[in-house]
Amino acid sequence: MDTLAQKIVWIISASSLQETTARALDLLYEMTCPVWACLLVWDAELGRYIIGAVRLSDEADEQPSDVRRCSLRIGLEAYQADDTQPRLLRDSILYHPINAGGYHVGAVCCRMLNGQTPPNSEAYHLLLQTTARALYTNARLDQADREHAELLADRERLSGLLAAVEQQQRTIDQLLVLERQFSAELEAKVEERTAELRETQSHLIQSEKLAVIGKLASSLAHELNNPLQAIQSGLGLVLSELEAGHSEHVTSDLRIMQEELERIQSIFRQMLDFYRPVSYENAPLDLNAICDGVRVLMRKRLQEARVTLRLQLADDLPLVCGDTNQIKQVLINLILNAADALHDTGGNIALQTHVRDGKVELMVIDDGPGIAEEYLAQLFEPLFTTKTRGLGLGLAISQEIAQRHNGSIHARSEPGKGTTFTVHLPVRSDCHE
Amino acid sequence: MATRIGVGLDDSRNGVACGKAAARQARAELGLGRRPAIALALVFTSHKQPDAVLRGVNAVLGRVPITGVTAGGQYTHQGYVEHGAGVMLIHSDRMQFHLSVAKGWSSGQRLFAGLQGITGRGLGSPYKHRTLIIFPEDETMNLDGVVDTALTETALMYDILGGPGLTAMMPPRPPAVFINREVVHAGLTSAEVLSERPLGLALANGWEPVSDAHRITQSDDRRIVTIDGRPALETYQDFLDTQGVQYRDVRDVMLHYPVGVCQEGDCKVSLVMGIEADGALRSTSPPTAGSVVRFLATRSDAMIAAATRAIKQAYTAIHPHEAAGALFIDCVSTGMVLEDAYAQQQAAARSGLGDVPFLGFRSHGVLARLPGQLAGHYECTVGTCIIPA
Repeated sequence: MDTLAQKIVWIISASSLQETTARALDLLYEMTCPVWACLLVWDAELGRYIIGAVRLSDEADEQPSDVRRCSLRIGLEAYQADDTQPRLLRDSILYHPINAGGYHVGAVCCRMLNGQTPPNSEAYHLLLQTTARALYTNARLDQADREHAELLADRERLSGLLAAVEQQQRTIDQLLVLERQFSAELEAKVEERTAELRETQSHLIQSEKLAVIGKLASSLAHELNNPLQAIQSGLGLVLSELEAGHSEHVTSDLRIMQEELERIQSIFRQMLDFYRPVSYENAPLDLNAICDGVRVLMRKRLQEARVTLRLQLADDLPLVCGDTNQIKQVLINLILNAADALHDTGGNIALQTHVRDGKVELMVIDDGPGIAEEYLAQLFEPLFTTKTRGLGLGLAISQEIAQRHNGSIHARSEPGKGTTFTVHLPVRSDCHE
Repeated sequence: MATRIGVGLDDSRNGVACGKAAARQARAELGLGRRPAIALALVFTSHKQPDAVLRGVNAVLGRVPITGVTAGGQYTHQGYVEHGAGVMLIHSDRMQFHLSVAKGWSSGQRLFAGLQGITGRGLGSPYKHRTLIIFPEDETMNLDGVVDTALTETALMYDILGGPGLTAMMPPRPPAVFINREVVHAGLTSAEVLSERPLGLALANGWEPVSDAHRITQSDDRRIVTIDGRPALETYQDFLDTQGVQYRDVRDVMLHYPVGVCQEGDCKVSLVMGIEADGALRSTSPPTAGSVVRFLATRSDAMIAAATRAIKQAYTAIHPHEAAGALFIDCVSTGMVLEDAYAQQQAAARSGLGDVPFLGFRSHGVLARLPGQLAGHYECTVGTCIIPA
């Protein structure tokens, strides 16, 4: 028994699967003395046997390669799941499956001598159990070694990856610092550029206005020529009347000249308003009150033109913000335009106020001949006019004033049915926001 | 300017003249009269005087960084040269190139020192795409090990493609790698490519598994010693018999039946290069012990189709960008397997790449780590690198 114990220790002390199978087969071979013996190892992943070890006696007439091939073929044919019993197959070949820990781990395959019976001693079975246990352990250890090696390789790669991630993090941190610095610098630059742009824009507007003034010159020359000629001829007439001692018409002639001078003054005012950068105050405005004031101001002029002005003002109209004089100017421009349209026939002008979509709406509606569709798009262009007199600046100035008040102005017209100009101004509770 | 590529090919008997002629062609095709500011020259030569070829190339290109490797033949749209040189000149303002060299191979040695895309200070490059093109020689370098080391040193952050330099057999000549003006006979060179746009890298072969699975039970650096617990040759011969392969000597057919580690239809090929007295199979990159392998086979049309497939995959990788040029890495054994049909594979490469300037060279397999594929040394496989414009 001591000898058997030594043999068992010798098997289980093997350091590899290869050594285990070689030692185990040596001992099994010594115990059974067959013609040849092969220890097959079960490869669970492949689902078949591979060769563990082979041992041939001198009586064997096969080559080791033949024995390996024969054993693999026998194993392939004889394997049955959960089989534990040895079987004697054709040509005196013994197939003895071995299991450990509930797993199939291999088989002993050997060609017995003629008349030789399968071994059945207690020592043989003990050796077989030891072999099974050693194979099981070694197979598990081999698998564990492979997995361990893979894990080590993975760990090395992950270390590299971790280092890279840390590097990335450092890069991101640096980028964040740079981004913050850049943002601050950018903000300062944006402010600086915005101020520059505002100034440039202001210059551009002025330049644009100067260009308009250039265009204005020819229009102005034509427009001033008529009153100047009237004044010149009137002065000549007054002088000759005074020299002749006829003074009865002097007063009326001087009045005509005064009107012509007023006309010239009006032309210059319009031109200067358009040219001059206007500073304006931003105060709460009651549009209804402005409409009322303008009605008083325009009454005489409208009566002369046989135009009736009606006010249809909304109750509780909210305040807007802006400059009273400029809004008045818009209103007067629009009423004068309407009155000019009604000049030949007389007619009606309605002045309405509404609240719509958070905005105050001011409408100037006339029942004149209307504006041809092809002119509507150009109405607000400087120097555009359909009238025989005037510079064509009234509506351009009105639009600029409306826009300066964050508002807008639109025209709608239908030939034969009249024209409506609508001014929208935002409702504001605090004019200093 | 973006990226422009010129290629040149020559087989003058005098090495210096050969290098000069190929470099001049490349420069002329690039359309630049003087040295480009940011450029890289790749030199592949099967010439008997590789040192002289490199001198010739340097004489023409001046200080342009150069890397490359000895090869088994080169080809472009202009043709194929068995004993000559091919030069690819890349000029780009969308890429950065950094060359490095490692001489010899020892444990713990860094093979890719000085990478700019990943440094101790963080990711040292604003470029999003990182590629490492590796040229090791095949005599002293463990080619699977080179890819493993590259994976670790680049922290898996680079795509990797390479072509090992070839040991010439007839007459025997050691392999060599080139770095600028220097010829290195033991070691590797690499080109780190940092780019705004991804390089179109692809790998394909026409091999298919034709056997049951087998277990590699013992192998070392250069040999498969046992398969399924039996001498490897014994298992191999049983496989050939099962296939009904007729042969007088296993050596006559072993090139046509390599060993492969397969995963999801993609097989990493290890050619059987010879037989040892103990029944071991010689292989440049044998699968490690414990690997499950299958024996592979192919047909000419499958290998030619693989070349076309690699080009298409590479084009897909650069979509929607146009191609500026292409590098085609072609294992020298492919020609041995295809024999007369090899010319068809070159034709397939020319056809697939259209008017795009390209340089193909015959290496000792392909080194790769590409998304979705096994990393390592692939033999009898084609690798494509399409460089976007």
